[in-house]
Amino acid sequence: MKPRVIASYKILAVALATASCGKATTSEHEQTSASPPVPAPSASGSQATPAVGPAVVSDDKADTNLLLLRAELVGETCESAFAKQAHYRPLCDKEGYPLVGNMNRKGGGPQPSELCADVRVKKAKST
Amino acid sequence: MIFELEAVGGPWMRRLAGRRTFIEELAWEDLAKESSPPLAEQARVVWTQSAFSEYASAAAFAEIASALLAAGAPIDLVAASGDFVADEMLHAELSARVAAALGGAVPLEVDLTKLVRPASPSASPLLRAAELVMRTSCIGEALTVPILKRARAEAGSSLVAAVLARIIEDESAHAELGSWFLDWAAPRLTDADRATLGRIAGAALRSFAPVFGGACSSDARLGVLDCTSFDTTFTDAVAARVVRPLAARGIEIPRADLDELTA
Repeated sequence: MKPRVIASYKILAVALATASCGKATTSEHEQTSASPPVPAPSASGSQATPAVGPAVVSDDKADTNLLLLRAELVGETCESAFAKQAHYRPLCDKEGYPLVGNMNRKGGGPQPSELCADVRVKKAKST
Repeated sequence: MIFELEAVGGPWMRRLAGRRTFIEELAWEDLAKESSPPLAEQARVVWTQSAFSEYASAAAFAEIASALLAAGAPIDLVAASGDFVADEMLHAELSARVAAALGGAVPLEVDLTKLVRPASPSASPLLRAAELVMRTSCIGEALTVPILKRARAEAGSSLVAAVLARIIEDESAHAELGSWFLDWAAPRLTDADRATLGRIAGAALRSFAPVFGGACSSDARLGVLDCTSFDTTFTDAVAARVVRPLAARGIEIPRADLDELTA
Protein backbone atom coordinates (compact mmCIF):
# COMPACT_ATOMS: atom_id res chain seq x y z
CA MET A 1 0.00 0.00 0.00
CA LYS A 2 1.40 3.39 -0.97
CA PRO A 3 2.06 5.96 1.75
CA ARG A 4 -0.62 8.62 2.04
CA VAL A 5 -0.21 12.34 2.30
CA ILE A 6 -2.41 13.16 5.28
CA ALA A 7 -3.75 16.69 5.40
CA SER A 8 -5.66 17.19 8.61
CA TYR A 9 -8.10 20.04 9.12
CA LYS A 10 -8.77 22.17 12.15
CA ILE A 11 -11.76 21.49 14.34
CA LEU A 12 -10.75 24.11 16.90
CA ALA A 13 -8.47 27.02 16.11
CA VAL A 14 -7.53 30.15 18.03
CA ALA A 15 -9.27 33.21 16.63
CA LEU A 16 -6.34 35.64 16.31
CA ALA A 17 -4.07 33.03 14.79
CA THR A 18 -6.56 32.12 12.12
CA ALA A 19 -7.77 35.59 11.37
CA SER A 20 -4.57 37.56 11.37
CA CYS A 21 -1.63 35.23 11.09
CA GLY A 22 -2.67 33.12 8.18
CA LYS A 23 -2.76 29.79 9.98
CA ALA A 24 -4.52 27.42 7.65
CA THR A 25 -7.85 26.01 8.68
CA THR A 26 -10.23 25.20 5.89
CA SER A 27 -7.47 25.06 3.36
CA GLU A 28 -6.11 22.03 5.13
CA HIS A 29 -9.38 20.20 4.80
CA GLU A 30 -9.00 16.80 3.27
CA GLN A 31 -11.13 16.27 0.21
CA THR A 32 -12.20 12.80 1.27
CA SER A 33 -13.55 13.97 4.60
CA ALA A 34 -17.07 12.91 5.51
CA SER A 35 -17.59 16.25 7.19
CA PRO A 36 -17.47 19.78 5.82
CA PRO A 37 -14.80 21.95 7.42
CA VAL A 38 -15.53 24.28 10.26
CA PRO A 39 -15.70 27.80 8.83
CA ALA A 40 -12.55 29.75 9.65
CA PRO A 41 -13.37 31.82 12.69
CA SER A 42 -12.82 35.56 12.62
CA ALA A 43 -11.63 37.61 15.54
CA SER A 44 -14.08 40.29 16.59
CA GLY A 45 -15.50 40.64 13.15
CA SER A 46 -12.16 41.19 11.41
CA GLN A 47 -12.29 40.54 7.72
CA ALA A 48 -9.86 38.99 5.31
CA THR A 49 -7.56 41.43 3.53
CA PRO A 50 -9.21 42.52 0.30
CA ALA A 51 -7.47 41.50 -2.89
CA VAL A 52 -7.20 45.12 -4.03
CA GLY A 53 -6.39 47.68 -1.35
CA PRO A 54 -6.55 51.45 -1.27
CA ALA A 55 -4.10 53.42 -3.32
CA VAL A 56 -0.64 53.51 -1.74
CA VAL A 57 0.57 56.94 -0.63
CA SER A 58 4.29 57.62 -0.76
CA ASP A 59 6.05 58.47 2.54
CA ASP A 60 6.68 62.08 1.61
CA LYS A 61 2.94 62.62 1.23
CA ALA A 62 1.78 60.50 4.16
CA ASP A 63 0.52 61.76 7.52
CA THR A 64 3.41 61.91 10.02
CA ASN A 65 1.32 60.31 12.75
CA LEU A 66 0.57 57.37 10.47
CA LEU A 67 4.25 56.99 9.68
CA LEU A 68 5.02 56.90 13.40
CA LEU A 69 2.32 54.31 13.91
CA ARG A 70 3.73 52.21 11.09
CA ALA A 71 7.17 52.38 12.68
CA GLU A 72 5.67 51.11 15.92
CA LEU A 73 3.94 48.30 14.16
CA VAL A 74 6.90 47.19 12.08
CA GLY A 75 8.28 45.13 14.94
CA GLU A 76 4.96 43.44 15.55
CA THR A 77 5.00 39.88 14.26
CA CYS A 78 2.15 37.41 14.38
CA GLU A 79 3.94 35.71 17.27
CA SER A 80 4.25 38.90 19.32
CA ALA A 81 0.64 39.86 18.61
CA PHE A 82 -0.42 36.38 19.66
CA ALA A 83 1.65 36.59 22.84
CA LYS A 84 -0.12 39.82 23.79
CA GLN A 85 -3.53 38.19 23.53
CA ALA A 86 -5.04 37.14 26.86
CA HIS A 87 -4.09 33.53 27.59
CA TYR A 88 -6.07 31.10 29.69
CA ARG A 89 -5.45 27.87 31.51
CA PRO A 90 -7.87 25.13 32.42
CA LEU A 91 -9.03 25.00 36.02
CA CYS A 92 -6.66 22.67 37.78
CA ASP A 93 -6.05 20.99 41.11
CA LYS A 94 -3.07 21.75 43.33
CA GLU A 95 -0.79 19.49 41.28
CA GLY A 96 -1.90 21.07 38.02
CA TYR A 97 -4.20 18.30 36.77
CA PRO A 98 -7.36 19.62 35.12
CA LEU A 99 -10.47 19.44 37.29
CA VAL A 100 -12.69 16.50 36.40
CA GLY A 101 -15.90 17.09 34.49
CA ASN A 102 -17.11 19.98 32.39
CA MET A 103 -18.02 22.62 34.94
CA ASN A 104 -16.16 25.72 33.87
CA ARG A 105 -19.35 27.59 33.03
CA LYS A 106 -18.86 30.84 34.90
CA GLY A 107 -18.38 33.70 32.54
CA GLY A 108 -16.54 36.02 34.88
CA GLY A 109 -14.33 35.96 37.92
CA PRO A 110 -10.59 35.51 38.03
CA GLN A 111 -9.06 34.10 34.89
CA PRO A 112 -8.20 30.42 35.19
CA SER A 113 -4.59 31.36 34.45
CA GLU A 114 -4.60 33.53 37.56
CA LEU A 115 -6.03 30.73 39.65
CA CYS A 116 -3.56 28.14 38.46
CA ALA A 117 -0.64 30.55 38.68
CA ASP A 118 -1.67 31.26 42.25
CA VAL A 119 -1.85 27.55 43.01
CA ARG A 120 1.62 27.03 41.59
CA VAL A 121 3.08 29.92 43.59
CA LYS A 122 1.52 28.60 46.80
CA LYS A 123 2.78 25.09 46.05
CA ALA A 124 6.30 26.37 45.34
CA LYS A 125 6.30 28.27 48.65
CA SER A 126 5.14 25.23 50.58
CA THR A 127 7.92 22.98 49.24
CA MET B 1 1.04 24.33 24.16
CA ILE B 2 -2.05 26.14 22.90
CA PHE B 3 -5.08 23.87 22.72
CA GLU B 4 -6.39 23.22 19.24
CA LEU B 5 -8.09 20.22 17.65
CA GLU B 6 -7.80 18.65 14.24
CA ALA B 7 -9.15 15.66 12.34
CA VAL B 8 -8.05 13.73 9.28
CA GLY B 9 -11.53 12.81 8.02
CA GLY B 10 -12.05 10.05 5.49
CA PRO B 11 -12.81 6.57 6.87
CA TRP B 12 -12.00 7.66 10.40
CA MET B 13 -14.63 10.36 10.49
CA ARG B 14 -17.09 8.06 8.71
CA ARG B 15 -16.71 5.59 11.60
CA LEU B 16 -18.31 8.26 13.76
CA ALA B 17 -21.11 9.01 11.31
CA GLY B 18 -23.81 7.51 13.51
CA ARG B 19 -22.81 9.78 16.36
CA ARG B 20 -22.14 12.86 14.25
CA THR B 21 -24.99 13.08 11.74
CA PHE B 22 -26.98 15.52 13.85
CA ILE B 23 -24.03 17.94 14.00
CA GLU B 24 -24.47 18.79 10.33
CA GLU B 25 -28.19 19.30 10.85
CA LEU B 26 -27.74 22.03 13.45
CA ALA B 27 -28.11 25.65 12.31
CA TRP B 28 -24.61 26.81 13.24
CA GLU B 29 -25.00 30.09 11.39
CA ASP B 30 -27.81 31.11 13.79
CA LEU B 31 -25.43 31.46 16.70
CA ALA B 32 -23.86 34.65 15.40
CA LYS B 33 -27.35 36.19 15.30
CA GLU B 34 -28.15 35.02 18.83
CA SER B 35 -24.97 36.34 20.42
CA SER B 36 -23.53 39.75 21.02
CA PRO B 37 -20.48 41.08 22.89
CA PRO B 38 -19.46 41.00 25.69
CA LEU B 39 -21.33 37.78 26.47
CA ALA B 40 -20.10 36.21 23.21
CA GLU B 41 -16.52 36.78 24.38
CA GLN B 42 -17.23 35.08 27.71
CA ALA B 43 -18.93 32.26 25.86
CA ARG B 44 -15.86 31.77 23.67
CA VAL B 45 -13.79 31.25 26.84
CA VAL B 46 -16.37 28.88 28.31
CA TRP B 47 -16.69 26.79 25.13
CA THR B 48 -12.93 26.62 24.56
CA GLN B 49 -12.58 25.42 28.14
CA SER B 50 -15.43 23.01 27.50
CA ALA B 51 -13.65 21.49 24.49
CA PHE B 52 -10.59 20.89 26.64
CA SER B 53 -12.61 19.48 29.56
CA GLU B 54 -14.18 16.98 27.19
CA TYR B 55 -10.76 16.12 25.78
CA ALA B 56 -9.46 15.49 29.31
CA SER B 57 -12.54 13.40 30.09
CA ALA B 58 -11.75 11.24 27.06
CA ALA B 59 -8.30 10.66 28.52
CA ALA B 60 -9.87 9.78 31.88
CA PHE B 61 -12.16 7.15 30.36
CA ALA B 62 -9.26 5.70 28.39
CA GLU B 63 -7.41 5.32 31.72
CA ILE B 64 -10.50 3.85 33.32
CA ALA B 65 -10.89 1.30 30.54
CA SER B 66 -7.30 0.13 31.07
CA ALA B 67 -7.74 0.05 34.84
CA LEU B 68 -10.99 -1.94 34.56
CA LEU B 69 -9.24 -4.46 32.31
CA ALA B 70 -6.44 -4.81 34.86
CA ALA B 71 -9.02 -5.27 37.63
CA GLY B 72 -10.89 -8.00 35.76
CA ALA B 73 -14.07 -5.95 35.69
CA PRO B 74 -17.14 -7.10 33.73
CA ILE B 75 -16.60 -6.79 29.99
CA ASP B 76 -19.63 -4.57 29.40
CA LEU B 77 -18.35 -2.01 31.89
CA VAL B 78 -14.97 -2.08 30.16
CA ALA B 79 -16.59 -1.70 26.73
CA ALA B 80 -18.73 1.18 27.95
CA SER B 81 -15.65 2.99 29.24
CA GLY B 82 -13.97 2.60 25.86
CA ASP B 83 -17.12 3.79 24.12
CA PHE B 84 -17.24 6.85 26.35
CA VAL B 85 -13.90 7.98 24.88
CA ALA B 86 -15.64 8.39 21.53
CA ASP B 87 -18.54 10.21 23.24
CA GLU B 88 -16.11 12.67 24.78
CA MET B 89 -14.39 13.26 21.45
CA LEU B 90 -17.78 14.12 20.00
CA HIS B 91 -18.41 16.53 22.87
CA ALA B 92 -15.00 18.11 22.28
CA GLU B 93 -15.93 18.62 18.64
CA LEU B 94 -19.35 20.03 19.57
CA SER B 95 -17.79 22.48 22.01
CA ALA B 96 -15.19 23.43 19.42
CA ARG B 97 -17.92 24.09 16.86
CA VAL B 98 -19.72 26.40 19.27
CA ALA B 99 -16.47 28.27 20.00
CA ALA B 100 -15.81 28.57 16.28
CA ALA B 101 -19.33 29.81 15.60
CA LEU B 102 -18.82 32.48 18.27
CA GLY B 103 -15.66 33.74 16.57
CA GLY B 104 -12.98 31.17 17.39
CA ALA B 105 -11.20 29.67 20.36
CA VAL B 106 -9.30 31.68 22.95
CA PRO B 107 -5.64 30.76 23.55
CA LEU B 108 -5.81 28.03 26.19
CA GLU B 109 -2.47 26.80 27.49
CA VAL B 110 -2.59 23.09 28.23
CA ASP B 111 -0.29 20.21 29.09
CA LEU B 112 -1.51 17.18 27.17
CA THR B 113 0.89 14.92 29.05
CA LYS B 114 -0.95 15.76 32.26
CA LEU B 115 -4.62 15.21 31.52
CA VAL B 116 -5.56 12.74 34.24
CA ARG B 117 -4.49 12.61 37.84
CA PRO B 118 -2.96 9.13 38.11
CA ALA B 119 -4.27 6.54 40.54
CA SER B 120 -2.08 5.60 43.52
CA PRO B 121 0.68 3.36 42.14
CA SER B 122 0.82 1.21 45.26
CA ALA B 123 -2.92 0.42 45.32
CA SER B 124 -4.40 -2.85 44.12
CA PRO B 125 -5.73 -2.97 40.54
CA LEU B 126 -9.29 -2.88 41.90
CA LEU B 127 -8.65 0.14 44.08
CA ARG B 128 -6.82 1.91 41.27
CA ALA B 129 -9.85 1.43 39.04
CA ALA B 130 -12.15 2.57 41.84
CA GLU B 131 -10.05 5.69 42.40
CA LEU B 132 -10.26 6.69 38.73
CA VAL B 133 -13.98 5.88 38.50
CA MET B 134 -14.60 7.84 41.70
CA ARG B 135 -13.02 11.03 40.39
CA THR B 136 -14.38 10.90 36.87
CA SER B 137 -17.81 9.24 37.02
CA CYS B 138 -18.92 9.60 40.65
CA ILE B 139 -17.80 13.23 40.90
CA GLY B 140 -16.84 14.89 37.62
CA GLU B 141 -19.61 13.53 35.43
CA ALA B 142 -22.18 13.40 38.24
CA LEU B 143 -21.73 17.12 38.93
CA THR B 144 -21.47 18.07 35.28
CA VAL B 145 -24.99 16.82 34.44
CA PRO B 146 -26.96 19.29 36.62
CA ILE B 147 -24.63 22.16 35.73
CA LEU B 148 -25.16 21.54 32.03
CA LYS B 149 -28.92 21.11 32.54
CA ARG B 150 -29.00 24.52 34.16
CA ALA B 151 -26.91 25.97 31.34
CA ARG B 152 -29.30 24.42 28.81
CA ALA B 153 -32.35 25.89 30.58
CA GLU B 154 -30.78 29.34 30.46
CA ALA B 155 -29.08 29.00 27.06
CA GLY B 156 -31.21 31.57 25.22
CA SER B 157 -30.12 29.91 21.98
CA SER B 158 -31.68 26.92 20.29
CA LEU B 159 -28.30 25.84 18.94
CA VAL B 160 -26.53 25.98 22.31
CA ALA B 161 -29.48 24.20 23.93
CA ALA B 162 -29.32 21.42 21.33
CA VAL B 163 -25.58 20.99 21.84
CA LEU B 164 -25.96 20.88 25.61
CA ALA B 165 -28.86 18.43 25.35
CA ARG B 166 -26.68 15.99 23.43
CA ILE B 167 -23.79 16.30 25.87
CA ILE B 168 -26.12 15.84 28.87
CA GLU B 169 -27.63 12.72 27.33
CA ASP B 170 -24.21 11.08 27.15
CA GLU B 171 -22.84 12.41 30.44
CA SER B 172 -25.72 10.88 32.37
CA ALA B 173 -24.56 7.42 31.29
CA HIS B 174 -20.96 8.36 32.07
CA ALA B 175 -22.00 9.25 35.61
CA GLU B 176 -24.04 6.04 35.97
CA LEU B 177 -20.95 3.95 35.34
CA GLY B 178 -19.68 5.01 38.75
CA SER B 179 -22.45 3.49 40.83
CA TRP B 180 -22.59 0.35 38.68
CA PHE B 181 -18.85 -0.16 39.13
CA LEU B 182 -19.00 0.44 42.88
CA ASP B 183 -21.92 -1.99 43.23
CA TRP B 184 -20.01 -4.66 41.32
CA ALA B 185 -16.86 -4.00 43.34
CA ALA B 186 -18.65 -3.81 46.72
CA PRO B 187 -17.99 -7.40 47.87
CA ARG B 188 -14.32 -7.01 46.91
CA LEU B 189 -13.70 -3.72 48.73
CA THR B 190 -12.60 -3.62 52.37
CA ASP B 191 -13.64 -0.99 54.92
CA ALA B 192 -10.16 0.47 54.57
CA ASP B 193 -10.67 0.70 50.80
CA ARG B 194 -13.97 2.53 51.35
CA ALA B 195 -12.31 4.96 53.73
CA THR B 196 -9.58 5.59 51.15
CA LEU B 197 -12.20 6.22 48.49
CA GLY B 198 -13.98 8.67 50.80
CA ARG B 199 -10.78 10.64 51.21
CA ILE B 200 -10.17 10.58 47.45
CA ALA B 201 -13.68 11.86 46.83
CA GLY B 202 -13.18 14.58 49.45
CA ALA B 203 -9.94 15.75 47.87
CA ALA B 204 -11.55 15.80 44.42
CA LEU B 205 -14.45 17.89 45.71
CA ARG B 206 -12.13 20.21 47.59
CA SER B 207 -10.29 20.97 44.34
CA PHE B 208 -13.43 22.77 43.16
CA ALA B 209 -13.16 25.35 45.93
CA PRO B 210 -11.52 28.00 43.67
CA VAL B 211 -14.57 27.80 41.41
CA PHE B 212 -16.60 29.59 44.08
CA GLY B 213 -16.25 33.28 44.81
CA GLY B 214 -14.96 36.10 42.68
CA ALA B 215 -16.76 38.15 40.08
CA CYS B 216 -19.11 36.47 37.65
CA SER B 217 -21.00 37.15 34.51
CA SER B 218 -24.26 38.90 35.28
CA ASP B 219 -25.80 37.23 32.29
CA ALA B 220 -26.58 33.53 31.93
CA ARG B 221 -26.85 32.58 28.29
CA LEU B 222 -25.00 30.77 25.50
CA GLY B 223 -23.82 28.10 27.94
CA VAL B 224 -22.46 30.66 30.43
CA LEU B 225 -23.91 30.66 33.96
CA ASP B 226 -24.05 33.51 36.46
CA CYS B 227 -22.69 32.96 39.96
CA THR B 228 -26.00 32.31 41.67
CA SER B 229 -27.13 29.77 39.10
CA PHE B 230 -23.80 27.99 39.16
CA ASP B 231 -23.17 27.99 42.91
CA THR B 232 -26.63 26.83 43.97
CA THR B 233 -26.77 24.12 41.31
CA PHE B 234 -23.30 22.91 42.23
CA THR B 235 -23.82 22.75 46.00
CA ASP B 236 -27.20 21.03 45.61
CA ALA B 237 -25.63 18.50 43.24
CA VAL B 238 -22.76 17.75 45.62
CA ALA B 239 -25.27 16.66 48.26
CA ALA B 240 -27.74 14.87 46.02
CA ARG B 241 -25.52 13.32 43.39
CA VAL B 242 -22.25 12.68 45.23
CA VAL B 243 -22.48 12.63 49.02
CA ARG B 244 -25.73 10.66 49.40
CA PRO B 245 -25.10 8.01 46.70
CA LEU B 246 -21.62 7.36 48.08
CA ALA B 247 -22.87 7.22 51.67
CA ALA B 248 -25.43 4.62 50.58
CA ARG B 249 -22.45 2.51 49.52
CA GLY B 250 -20.56 2.95 52.76
CA ILE B 251 -18.25 5.64 51.43
CA GLU B 252 -18.19 8.70 53.68
CA ILE B 253 -16.63 11.96 52.53
CA PRO B 254 -14.75 13.70 55.37
CA ARG B 255 -16.80 16.62 56.72
CA ALA B 256 -13.78 18.93 56.59
CA ASP B 257 -13.52 18.47 52.82
CA LEU B 258 -17.15 19.43 52.33
CA ASP B 259 -16.79 22.43 54.59
CA GLU B 260 -13.70 23.63 52.76
CA LEU B 261 -15.47 23.38 49.44
CA THR B 262 -17.86 26.23 50.14
CA ALA B 263 -15.97 28.06 52.90
